[in-house]
Amino acid sequence: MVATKEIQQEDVYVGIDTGGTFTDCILSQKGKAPIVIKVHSTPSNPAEAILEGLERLSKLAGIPIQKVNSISHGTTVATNAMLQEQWAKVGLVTTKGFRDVLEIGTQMRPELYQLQQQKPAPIVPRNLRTEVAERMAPTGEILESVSKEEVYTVLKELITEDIESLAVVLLFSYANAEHESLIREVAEELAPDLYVGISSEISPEFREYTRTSTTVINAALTPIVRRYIRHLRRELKNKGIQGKLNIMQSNGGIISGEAEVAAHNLVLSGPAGGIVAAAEIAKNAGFSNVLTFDMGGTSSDIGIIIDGEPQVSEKTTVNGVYPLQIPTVDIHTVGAGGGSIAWKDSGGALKVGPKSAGASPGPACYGKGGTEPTVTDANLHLGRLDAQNFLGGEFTVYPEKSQDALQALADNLGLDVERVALGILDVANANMAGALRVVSSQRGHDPRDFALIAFGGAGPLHATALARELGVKNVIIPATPGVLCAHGLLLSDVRHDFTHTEIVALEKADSLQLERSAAELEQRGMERLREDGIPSDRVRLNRTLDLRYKGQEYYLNVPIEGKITKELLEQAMQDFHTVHERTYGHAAVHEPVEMVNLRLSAFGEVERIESHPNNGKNLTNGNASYRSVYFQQGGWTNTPIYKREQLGVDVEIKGPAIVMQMDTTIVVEPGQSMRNDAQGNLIISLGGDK
Amino acid sequence: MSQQSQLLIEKTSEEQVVDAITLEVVYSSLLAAADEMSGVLGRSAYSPIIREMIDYSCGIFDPVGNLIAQAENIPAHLGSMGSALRELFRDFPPASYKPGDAFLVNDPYRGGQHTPDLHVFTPAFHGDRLVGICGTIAHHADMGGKNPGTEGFDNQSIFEEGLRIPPVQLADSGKINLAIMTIIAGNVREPNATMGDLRAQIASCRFGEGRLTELANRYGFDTLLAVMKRSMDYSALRMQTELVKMKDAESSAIGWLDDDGAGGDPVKICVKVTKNDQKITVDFTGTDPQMAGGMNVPPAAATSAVLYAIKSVVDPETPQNQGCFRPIEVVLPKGSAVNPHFPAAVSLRHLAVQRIADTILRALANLYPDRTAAGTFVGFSSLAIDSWHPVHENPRVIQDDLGGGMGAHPNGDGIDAVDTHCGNVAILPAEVSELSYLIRVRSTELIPDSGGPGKWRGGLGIRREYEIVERSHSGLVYTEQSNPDFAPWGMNGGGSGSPASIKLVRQGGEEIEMGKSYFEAQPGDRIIIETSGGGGYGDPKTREPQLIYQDVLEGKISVDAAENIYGAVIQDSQVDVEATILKRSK
Repeated sequence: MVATKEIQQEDVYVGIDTGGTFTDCILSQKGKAPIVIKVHSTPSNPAEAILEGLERLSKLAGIPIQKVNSISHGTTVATNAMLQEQWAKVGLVTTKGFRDVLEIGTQMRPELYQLQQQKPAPIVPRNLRTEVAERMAPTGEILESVSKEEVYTVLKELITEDIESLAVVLLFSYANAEHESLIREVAEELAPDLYVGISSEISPEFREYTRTSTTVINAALTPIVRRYIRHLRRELKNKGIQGKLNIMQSNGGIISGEAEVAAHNLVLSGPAGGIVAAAEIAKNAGFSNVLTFDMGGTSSDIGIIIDGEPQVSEKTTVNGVYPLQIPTVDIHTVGAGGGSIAWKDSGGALKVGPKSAGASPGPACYGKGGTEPTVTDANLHLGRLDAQNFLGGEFTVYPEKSQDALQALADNLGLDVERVALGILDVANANMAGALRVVSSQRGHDPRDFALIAFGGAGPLHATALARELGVKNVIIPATPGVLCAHGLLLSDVRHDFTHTEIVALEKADSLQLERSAAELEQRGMERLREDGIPSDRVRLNRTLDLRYKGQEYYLNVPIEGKITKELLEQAMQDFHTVHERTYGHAAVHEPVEMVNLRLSAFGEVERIESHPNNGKNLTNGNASYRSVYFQQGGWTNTPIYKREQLGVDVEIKGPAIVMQMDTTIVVEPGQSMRNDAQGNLIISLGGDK
Repeated sequence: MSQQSQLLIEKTSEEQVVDAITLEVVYSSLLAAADEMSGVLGRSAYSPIIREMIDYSCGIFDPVGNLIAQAENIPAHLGSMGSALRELFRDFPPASYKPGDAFLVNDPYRGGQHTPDLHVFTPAFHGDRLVGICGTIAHHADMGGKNPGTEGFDNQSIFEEGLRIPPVQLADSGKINLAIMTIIAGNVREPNATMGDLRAQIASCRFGEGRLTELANRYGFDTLLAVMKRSMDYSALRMQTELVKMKDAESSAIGWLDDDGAGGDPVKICVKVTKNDQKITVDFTGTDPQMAGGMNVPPAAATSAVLYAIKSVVDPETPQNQGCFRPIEVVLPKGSAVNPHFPAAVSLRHLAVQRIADTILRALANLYPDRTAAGTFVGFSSLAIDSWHPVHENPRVIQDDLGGGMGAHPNGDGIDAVDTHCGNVAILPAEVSELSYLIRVRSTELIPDSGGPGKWRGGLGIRREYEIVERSHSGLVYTEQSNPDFAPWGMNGGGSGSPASIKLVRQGGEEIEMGKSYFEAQPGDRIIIETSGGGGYGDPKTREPQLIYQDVLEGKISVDAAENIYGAVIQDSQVDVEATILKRSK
């Protein structure tokens, strides 16, 4: 029965992360341990799983769901539309002569050596791309005025094609948005319900292809995302839930689901939560420079956190082809996961992936017909996974089938089976280590100065070996590695990003004018945060400059603090030399520095709920069970097996050891040691310098 | 008199057994290190041609100069760093190297490609033992010479092509030889960019050194060297495994350049490909003598084209290292257009390189149609103009290369509007052009009907129009494949693509066909470049009506072509799919 009387909202916060298989839900309440559950996702209507999760959480917590203060949501709606190329039907208006920019792109071909390659179709087919005569100069001066009559004619024709949204991209519109705005006005007059995205608002930066692509992706996702959020809000309302709905963005910040969401900012909504949570957890555990490692069934996501901040790129690529100019948490995907298949290639090397056994037939040990050995088979054979207690014991596996599959590969390679099983793990780890080195060196850092935080179902299985390969000294396994993305949703601030493009020699920059531009961006940021219901004492504004040496094409992002003055710009220039030296190994202090963009990130800080450690006991080795596990250091070793919830706070236990918990298994190698910290994280120390 | 190019070195240390796992673990780290070098160079370079157009490559070599790992951005650099390194070894033997040394070379007659491509090499050490060499090659915006951008179709000799740098020591134990830097800066049109790009090249090599030293620390010096050797066997084996699956046969093809660059007759490229078991030989005997103009191809560049074509057909995924050359033999007649005598001009060698790749692929298409495609745009239509920065007013050279259509193939249409074969450079963004130069791009469009018709259609060419905004500009434009006879060829009954063209349109309306020309242009004058579409595959009358409908709807083929070439039934300016099926079934 739904109560009719007014229900007071309490300090109850819910995070819900929709994934491909599971929807992870977490409920957090002041002064109590968080409650975590997983429910099966409902891809045709993701809201179903969300409501089921909410109801189960409320039952477990003993709180009516109407009392939930806010729901933060990581969604795959935009990601899935993108991966399956199920875009809304978009019309595109460009400057005359440039409708094919979207299709020609950079003119680079996807593959260097494939004579029979294909390129994905452009999001808007040529017959829905139309042009108007007009031209702006780079200064914003109008060279040729747009004709309102022509705009009417062109738009009427597009609208008869039943487009669901309209993208408008004119050359140099970031310098003067007048023509784009006029086209939007006419479109709104002709079709009031049509969504219109104009490039001067969506992506006000130079380079027409990137701006076109970004604006088109926004237009292609907006109708889908808005439909979904409207539907979800209605469903929540029907259940009597009045709490705020927040949506996670790709930049690692949340945004109110009440405001009009910028759809293209949601393409990495899911994984961004994991990185935010990883940053927060690592910071609380005393580590501010951290590599993140999230290993799943078919692939692994890696990321980097520097000085406690998830690193954000200004540009990303969608489906490997379409550029998207938005700040995005830096996440790289490596094609190696638990289901990745190991094979011998025609040159005689042992390869792992990119082919995956997936859920069906799955690894050989599933007994569903898979005959090729996978990473999971290697882990099972080496005793790292427990055949008797696979996935919490809900699942029967056949170790002899792993053995057969590995033996066949071992015969083919002329090696013994343990060498091959261990080799499969080594190769998978080497691929991931390579990717993590690239991610660190891109930012001018050495992975040895970082800790590694591992999550996802398979991350903690591989983390210590990966850390050894990288020379990392500490590994962090959070309390709930299986639902970290949902956890992150409760730790994310509201975030909006703004850009002002102005290419000018820094020495000659008008600091007064720049300060005015910065203030203008700040005002827009404050406005958006007000719409999100953020009180002004929780607002944080970060200004940065994109700088480069005059003559360079790309820039580095340099933070600035305070009012823009001549002195501040001088300081920014000095900082730029330092960052350039660190990132690229060289700098040119006597060369002129050029400013490209002024950027502003507006944050609304959310209230953090204190997390609670689990109440482990003071455990001794005597409490453990034992089984034989194979390690590179020493071969088959009788190894203690612990349950995660048994581990007490600050008790040091030496490896080798295996720690089991509901959603993952943790491997501690010989020579390493582990301890639970006060927040419930397992910290594994590799010791030494090696 | 012909000469077989020296592709193999491979004399390395004694055997150490490397198993499949060690090979993969260590070799993947070497490949990742080359990629990281590439990141360092690309992100911090100055010139658009390096950063924006990605015209550079990075590699790691073993201590005797075998290429072990290469981060490839464009196939034109395939395996070419090795020939420059071998020349370096002749003047500066590896035994003399010290940590912190760096070397520079660009001489096309000492293993280089053309003068704008500067190679930087640095030795990497593990303790006091040489563990490898890091190398970068990057196309600089200008190396001096008579033309902006250094390249010239009518250059008479290498002495018109700017600074020629034989192997020299650029740094001694970490100390840069400033005299060399000063001489370079004094001879090029954009000294700041060139110095910045050179610094980026050195930084990239230094980064690679660090990675090599770490790898030796982690896996041991002997294991690392053994893996380097094994990785070459690995690539060779991959190529050979694929080669034995292909039938043994011999095939020849002839390709033509529009002219010799200096206004002379078309120039003939002769290719004979012989595939025998695990070996494949590419013989250029019969190719015309070296040209009077600037398109001659030094051996390093010709070899890259051969490797590109063979790799595309045999195994596109093989990691690039010295082992890839093992199954390949190349015969380059001395004194011919593909192996000229000193001091022939070579700066525009890439135009001929594209035609060489096309001709080899044509010969291979006769033998292995399932692995190949119809003719592709190889005209390399480009411009290089002396301009000025609109705000800073400093002189700058604008360069742009346009892609075109790829050839159709037995499994689908050719891709529209991409850079092809040995190139893979990006188009200059119109907004970058107008922000950085006094040149306005007025349009960038696909050209309808430019793709060769067929069951599968050739990709479309690009049409781009540039307008001079202010001041009088001088510069040069050039293209190949403007002769319709040399347009991208069709395959198995498919039609040819359109030829390329470059026009200068004066403000008054006068049109001048340019091909390869120098020009003076005034504000309001326009340059219009049109590139070729790719060749078609199969009879156009068998193209699926639904695809013809879509092409007409999108304006990629005209109503006229749909009706007359593809045999479609037209109703209200659209293809009537049902009626077309019906008509064809009769």
